[in-house]
Parts: sequence; structure tokens; C-alpha cells
Amino acid sequence: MTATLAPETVARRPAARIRSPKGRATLYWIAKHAIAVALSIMFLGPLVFIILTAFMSDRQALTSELWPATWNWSNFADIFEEAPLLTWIRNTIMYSVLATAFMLVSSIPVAYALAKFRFRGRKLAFLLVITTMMLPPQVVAVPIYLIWARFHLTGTLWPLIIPMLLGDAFSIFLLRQFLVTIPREYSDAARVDGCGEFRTLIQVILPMARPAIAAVGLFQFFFCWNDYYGPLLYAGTDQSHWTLSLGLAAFKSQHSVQWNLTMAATILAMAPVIVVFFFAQKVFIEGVKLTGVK
Amino acid sequence: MANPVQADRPAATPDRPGRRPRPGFGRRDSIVGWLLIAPALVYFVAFLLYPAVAALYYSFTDWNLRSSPSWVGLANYTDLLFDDVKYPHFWKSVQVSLMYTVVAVPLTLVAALGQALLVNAIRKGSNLFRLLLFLPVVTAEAAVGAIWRWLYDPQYGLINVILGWFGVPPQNWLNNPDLVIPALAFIAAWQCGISMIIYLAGLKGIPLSLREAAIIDGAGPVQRFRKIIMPMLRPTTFYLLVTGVIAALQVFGLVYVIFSAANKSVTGGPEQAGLTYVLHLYLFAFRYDAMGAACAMSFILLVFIMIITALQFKFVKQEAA
Repeated sequence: MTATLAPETVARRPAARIRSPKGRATLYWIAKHAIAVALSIMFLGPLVFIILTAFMSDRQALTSELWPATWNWSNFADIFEEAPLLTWIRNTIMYSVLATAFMLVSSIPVAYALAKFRFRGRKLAFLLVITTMMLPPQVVAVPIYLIWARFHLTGTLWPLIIPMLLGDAFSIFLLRQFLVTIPREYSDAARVDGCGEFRTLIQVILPMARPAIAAVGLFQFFFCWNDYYGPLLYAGTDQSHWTLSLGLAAFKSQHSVQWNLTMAATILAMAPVIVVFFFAQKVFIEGVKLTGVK
Repeated sequence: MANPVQADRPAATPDRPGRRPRPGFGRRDSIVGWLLIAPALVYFVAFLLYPAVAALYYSFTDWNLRSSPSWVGLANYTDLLFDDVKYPHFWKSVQVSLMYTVVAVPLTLVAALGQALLVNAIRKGSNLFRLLLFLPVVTAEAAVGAIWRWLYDPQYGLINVILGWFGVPPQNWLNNPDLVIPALAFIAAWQCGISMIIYLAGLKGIPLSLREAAIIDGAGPVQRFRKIIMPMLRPTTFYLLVTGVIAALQVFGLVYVIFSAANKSVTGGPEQAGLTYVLHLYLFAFRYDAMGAACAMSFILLVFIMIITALQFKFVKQEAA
């Protein structure tokens, strides 16, 4: 092994060129880029198609033509008259922002304790977190629904927001995975300098854990913004409590032949998430890696 | 694990020699630790332990929410499993979910691995490419449902338009019972971005020296893929397989959106071809008010998932041995 590796360390060139003649390498380069371009078109295609549909007239949307004959910007205004979109947007923002804020406030201390404190039962507590994460939500859905019904909170989004004050298993797990990688020396040093637990957490640990906190915050925000199952269970039949996801699904069903309007509404619901994702994709992707095999 | 008594000892711990004794460890650590995790414990009891026990109890009762639950023993379970007059679609929904899992999970993994290899191989523009592949993941289920309902539209949808260019006659994707599962699985593969990222991280974890050694020893791309990349990615594949199967068995939101109609009825698609297990469960609980049967269904699902997961772990252990 070492003998065969030796020349390699001398001439460190791109792998493909080492053995194959130049022509073959070029062919390989062309092939992989061609596939990448084809895939990009495959993924971009539907997006372009729905954007084009969103601008078509009612009549043109029901043809197999791909390019809008006239650009009907008014579609994007019409949907606001067809459905209480502003209310849904407001509800969605409220749900996403509150749930994310509550989750962060409640989950960080738990993750910190699980990662950095030594106490009897810590392993058991971590096991409980994992169990909570793994259990299919359908198992507990009915009794939890009945709890909220007893408090007369079904028909609102509060049953989805309030539990976040007590922590979220997935976020706790992810934060803990990150926090254990921070060397103990930092918090020890803070203690020696006379920092209390609370100050150690705020001033030493939190700044270091910023990437992980950003990731779980983003995950939670995206989850809530896109959540369909939760609002479907709890928001009830009163449209003034609906979120964009819930409203969009109903909109699709009610305007089943007006694909231009449905797609305009879809784009409107997707746009904020795509913009946020565009600017925060690095954080997001690092977070996904944290969920992987460790 | 170190217990408080040990941690209190001034001597250096054996695994980290030569360390100063840490100040403030011991009983205080326990108290603060438990205080910090207390909210999570409340969550565990209120939203997991109690509901799970309650659901188990309800699963042994007949209950429609209007009267109080009446004990029926195992009747819900036996009726679901054996009484196809009372629950005509139970086995159909089991079959739909299994079919979906068997088709969608491998398709997703293959798509994810292919994309990861490609992103890994490309230097320029791979970030933009990755962003593009990831967009379907951050798209809301409701939006995905609306988009694909339109893309699969039998007359004007993009899929049939493109197939038409190649002379393939238009298909009624979501209304033909035989095509529902493949159509849904294709959407799942379109959303494989998360698995792709995890595969990508796995690929980056393969030591470069290993690949280079293989190249020098004369291994072609196919051989390198089979002999180095696949074995090195096995833990990643296993992780994605287990989590993928668990998720696929629970698929709900997308089918709900796709197959819900204007009159708010949910049918589960043509001839119940899209009636997944969890969609069926949802209908029992929140449409037919059959809480007992719904809870029984949820426990059947739980047991099934546990068995499948255990089997997967066992299979891998045997392979490793």
C-alpha cells in the first residue's frame, strides 16, 4: 500500500487524469456536467412551469401551451380577493415565530444539561428524548387532541405553540449532539472565573453553539411554516384560524380548474421559505449533516 | 458514566490524566442538571407517557366521543385484522403503505446517491446545483401536493406534455389505480434532498488516499464504486434506509392533499389506491369518530415499525459478522 501511494504524494493531481489519457478525462468531464445540467433542468422545469402557469389567463391555463400568451399579473391580486390570504399569512407567521422562539428558549437549557452536566439519570433522560423523537406521532395524536379539547383550545393554533415552551425532542437531540463537541475546558474556565451556570451558558456556550442554534431555529421555522398535519388537526373549520398550508390545500380543491390562481397562491406560499433558504442554505445543510450518522 | 461521587474526587480521572479538579461538581451538578431538564420531563409525561397509556386504553374500548368509552377487550384489534365487513379497507391500506415503502424508499436512496456523487464530482457550480436539488425539500407539503396535482394533470400537465414529445400517450397518473403508487414514489424521489446531503457528507468522509490507492492499483470508476464507495457508505445507507422506511410507512400529508376534493371528502384516491395506512387511521379518528379503532391502528403500526426496525438491525449485524 505505502509503496503504491508514494508516487501519488509527489504528484497530487485531479484523480481522473492520473491514469487515463487526456481525451478520456475530457469525455468524463463532459458526461458528468451534461448529467448535472439535465438534472438541473429536471428540477428547474416544474418550478418554471408553475411560474408560467401562474401568469396565464384562466382559459390559457387549461391548454397544453407552456408560454403565457399574456402576462396576467392581476392573478396575484385576484387570489387575495378569492381567499383571506392576509389572515392566513399572519397566522402562519405567528405560529412559526412563536413556536421557534419558544422552542429555542426551552430546548437550549435541556440540551446543555444533557451535554455538559454529570448527574445520575442523565443517560435515561437522553434515552427519553430519543424515544420521544422516534415514536410515531399517530400513537399519541388522539389523547393529545382530547387534552386540548378539554382546555377548549381546539380550533386554534395554540395546541401547536404551547408545547414548544417545554422543549422539542428533535431540537434537543440536535443541539446536544453539537454541544458535546465543545470542549469542557471552556465552561470549566468560566466557572473558575466565577461565572454562574446561567452566565456560563449565555456568555460562553451560546456564542460557540451559534451554528447549531441557527440550524435548529431554521428547521423549526421551516417545519412550522410548511406544517400541514398540525393545523389540519387543530385549526378547525374556521378559516380565520388557518395557516397558509391549510388554506392553500383548500384553495386548490375549491379552484380545481383555475390552475393559474392555484399556482399563484402556491408561489406566494413558497416564496418566503425559498428566499430564507437561499440566504441560509449553509446553516441549513450543516444542520442536516448533524442529523446524520455520528 | 461518572457518577457525582467520582466527579467530586480531586484526583485526575483516568481517561483524562493530569487534569485539575473541576470546581463545583457533584451534588450541585445533579440539582442544576435536573432543574434544567425538568421542562422536558414535564413534556415527556404530559405529551408522551400519559397519551401513550391513554391511547393503549382507548384501543381496548369502543368510543365515538359522544358517550364514554366502553371496554371491549381485544375486539378492535381482531375486528381490524379479521373482520373485512366492519373494516373493509384495513388490509388494502396496509398493502398501499407497504407497496409505497417498497417502491419509494429504494428509489429515493438511488436518486439521492446519484445526485450526491454528481455534486461531489463537480467543482464549479456545485453549490448552485445543490441548492436546486434541495428546493423540493423546503417546499410545503400543501404546495407539493398542488404542484404535482398540476404536473400530473391528465390533459395539460407537464409530465404528459413531455411524454408526448417522445410519443408516449397521456396517462391519467392520479386516477389510474395502477399508477398512483409509482406517481407518489416519484414525488418522494424528487424530494430526496435530505438523503442527498447526508450521502454527500458520507462521501466527503471517505479518505482521499483510499480512492487514490485504488486508482493507482488500476481500478476503474465502476470497480471503485463497488469496492470502495459502496462499502464505505454502508453505515450511511443503513441509517437512511431505517429512517426512510419509518417515514414512508407513516406517509400522510401529501396523499391527503393530493386526494382531498372540493367537497372535503377524502377518498384515498381511485379504488383506494392511495389510501395509506396513516390516512386511513386519520379518517377513523377525525372523520368517523372511531377513536378505539384509530388507537388500535396506531398500536398495530407501532408494533410493525418496531419489528421492521429490529429486523433491519439484525440483518445488518449478520452481514457484518
